[in-house]
Amino acid sequence: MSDKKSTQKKPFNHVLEVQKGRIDIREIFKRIDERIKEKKDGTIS
Amino acid sequence: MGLLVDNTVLDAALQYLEDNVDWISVCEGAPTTYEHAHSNKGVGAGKVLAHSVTPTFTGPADGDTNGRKTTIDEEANITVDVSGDADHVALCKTGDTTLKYVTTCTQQALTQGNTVTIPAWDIEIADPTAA
Repeated sequence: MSDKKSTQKKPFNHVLEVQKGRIDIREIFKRIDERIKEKKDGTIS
Repeated sequence: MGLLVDNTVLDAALQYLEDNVDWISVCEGAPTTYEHAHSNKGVGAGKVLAHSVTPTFTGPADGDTNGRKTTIDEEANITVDVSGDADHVALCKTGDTTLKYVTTCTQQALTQGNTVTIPAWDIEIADPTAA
């Protein structure tokens, strides 16, 4: 049996550094208000 | 006057992401449309270098600072389909072809044929503060 090592290279694994997302809840309520105004009947679609 | 939001309000938004996101992609440049975040770089307006159709979440849970958060679990060893400079990560819903969320990552050159790991990261909705 050959003791030659395989020459196949293992793919390099890149590891990302991802920025955490932080949402201001005022933005959510602002968008809900906009959606209500768009519909003008007080409901949210 | 104190400001208050119940956890159920914040959790509704986070749970929506957990229930609807079925695509996570690593992009070159900021995706602002579904096509950007879903089509490979070089195909139409696509910006995708690598993607996974099995994103999973943990949470909602208490935020690190305050409020509530959901954790997008690590996606390990995703195949890099197209070489490029990764600088954004996007979450999509393929069912209605919508781009749901985008964040940034430290720019890194990816090479086609290699793999990429997106470590676990959080989306946190902060408690309200006075404007």
